[in-house]
Amino acid sequence: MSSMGLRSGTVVEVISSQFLCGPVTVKAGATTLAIGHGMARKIEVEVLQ
Amino acid sequence: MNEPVQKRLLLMGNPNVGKSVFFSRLTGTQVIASNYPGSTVEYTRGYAIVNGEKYEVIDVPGTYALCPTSKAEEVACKMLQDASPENDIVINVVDSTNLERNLDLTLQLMEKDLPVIVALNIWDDAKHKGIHIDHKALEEWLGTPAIPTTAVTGQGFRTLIQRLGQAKRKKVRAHSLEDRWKDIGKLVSRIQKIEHHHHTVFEVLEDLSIHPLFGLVIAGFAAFFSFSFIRFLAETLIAHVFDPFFDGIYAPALMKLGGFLSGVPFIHDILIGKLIDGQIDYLQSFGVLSTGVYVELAMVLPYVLSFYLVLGLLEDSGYLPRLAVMLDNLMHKVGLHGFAIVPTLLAFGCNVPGILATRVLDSKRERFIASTLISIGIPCAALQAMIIGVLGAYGAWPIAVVYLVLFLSWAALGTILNSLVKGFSPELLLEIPPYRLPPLRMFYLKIKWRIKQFLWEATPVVLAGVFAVNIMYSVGLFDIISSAAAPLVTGLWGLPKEAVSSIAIGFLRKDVAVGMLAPLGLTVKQLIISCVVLSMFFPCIATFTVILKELGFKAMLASTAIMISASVAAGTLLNFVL
Repeated sequence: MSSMGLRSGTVVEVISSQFLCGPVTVKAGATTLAIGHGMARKIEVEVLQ
Repeated sequence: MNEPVQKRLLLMGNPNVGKSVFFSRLTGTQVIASNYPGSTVEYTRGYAIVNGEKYEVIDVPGTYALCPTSKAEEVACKMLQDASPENDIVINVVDSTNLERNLDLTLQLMEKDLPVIVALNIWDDAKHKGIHIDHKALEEWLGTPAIPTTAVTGQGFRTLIQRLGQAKRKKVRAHSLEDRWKDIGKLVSRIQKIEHHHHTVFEVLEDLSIHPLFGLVIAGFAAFFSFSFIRFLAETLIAHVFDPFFDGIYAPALMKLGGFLSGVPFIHDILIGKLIDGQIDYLQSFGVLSTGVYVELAMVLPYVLSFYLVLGLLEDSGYLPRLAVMLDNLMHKVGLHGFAIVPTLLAFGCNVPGILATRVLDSKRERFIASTLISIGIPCAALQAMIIGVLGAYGAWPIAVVYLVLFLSWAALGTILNSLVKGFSPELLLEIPPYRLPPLRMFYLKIKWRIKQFLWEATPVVLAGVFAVNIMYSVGLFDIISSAAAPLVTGLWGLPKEAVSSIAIGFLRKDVAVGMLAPLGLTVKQLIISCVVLSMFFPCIATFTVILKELGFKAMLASTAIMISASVAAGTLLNFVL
């Protein structure tokens, strides 16, 4: 995942999350990634703003 | 003894940065390029004369890192292991709109001690997005040429080729992952400036089409309009272009030819077929030059053409990865993840490229399930054209029944396979590309290539199929097969035993097989059952071969057994329910 542009310390913006634990779409820099729910759950985030 | 070693150019980079467009430009060979990661799953070779020297050019599947996670990435890594610094040059194609991430691979490539030249591709888009890159500073830092290019228009190509010889092997120390990111981060903040710009219509649409609610609405509309448009365009072409030609010009010409052949009835029957009321009837005559040519060119070709037009739009716009996100939940029910929708959609054109495209999936389990489901539930464009052609006369509902039954079988079998086949379905992890306008020239070339491919590969088989049918009829071979298969076909499916010959021919070409149903005078119910059985029963020989090649003998046997039992069950059920 780090080679896809998502690594610790990256600022991400959640674009959408599908119903019924579907994939979460996040934007990190110039990259938009869709991540399966189970995988996304394991990402620790800190809320900015 | 001393054979000169072939010099090679390896096109490498992240997925969906335009390597295939580069390849087409360099070699003049058409390959399929689309706007989603993973449109190239196997490397393609071509040749180019560059600066007076002959190079082999290789379009390597895109990869994020040099440790493989899918079959396609494996191909890329293998390619790199076999590369030699004396004879090979790596052209690292980089997405300028996403510099930081792409440079990670650039550094990894340079660590391999190969000559690397960097193409800063999609430069035009970067400019539109207000991204300014100081490419001279980048070049200095890398120690090897970095050239702005726009592959779809050809901008920057001449410079790239001129400077190919300057590609340097610069010994880069092996970085740890952490270090590499730090170095790149520092570099990028120095050489790249991003202006803020207002959201474009595209960007608003990008977010809307993966919104949990609006995304579904958009997907529904996209499916409906795609299907309606394909049918509308194909029928229009048939009614105003193909039928007038075949009725007004081709049929009279054939009748004349028939006149010459009337002395040799055997040849007349094979080429022209039986005359109905003294005239050629394209659906009943069944000669190689009458029905054979008509099925292929006037019934199937218009659908193939309009299907690839719509598919091309979906591919190049960048919509497909978003559809994958929307359908991820559904696809997990059948043991796959959302991105499996891409091979599935390709299979609606022809099952062969669809099954090849399952290489983007991560595991063998997924590839087996996806390929089996494709062969069972996804009718190719040729088969669909014939189903619509034969059933269309009875209104829309019989066609809807066929599609519904196929979809239900697809879903039911997927659910069963998901619980029976050992393993699990991995989660989706997919890069979503921005929307782009399809580059017109590339779009046109892709359709042209696909149509040519279809005509070259399908026509001989169709004509040979019709020929074989005539020979088998005249030597009475069908009678033997028919009697043997009668209990199944008449007993369980309620079809006349003549339908056996059509199902047998389905192994060769499914469109010819459906064409053979037309003269049998079947009822609507019988037509529906035959169409369903033909779609599911056994793959055509081309699909069969590709499954064998891609999945191996054992998986092919398992897959075939599943297809046969599924079609027997579906046909029987329909016979008793309808």
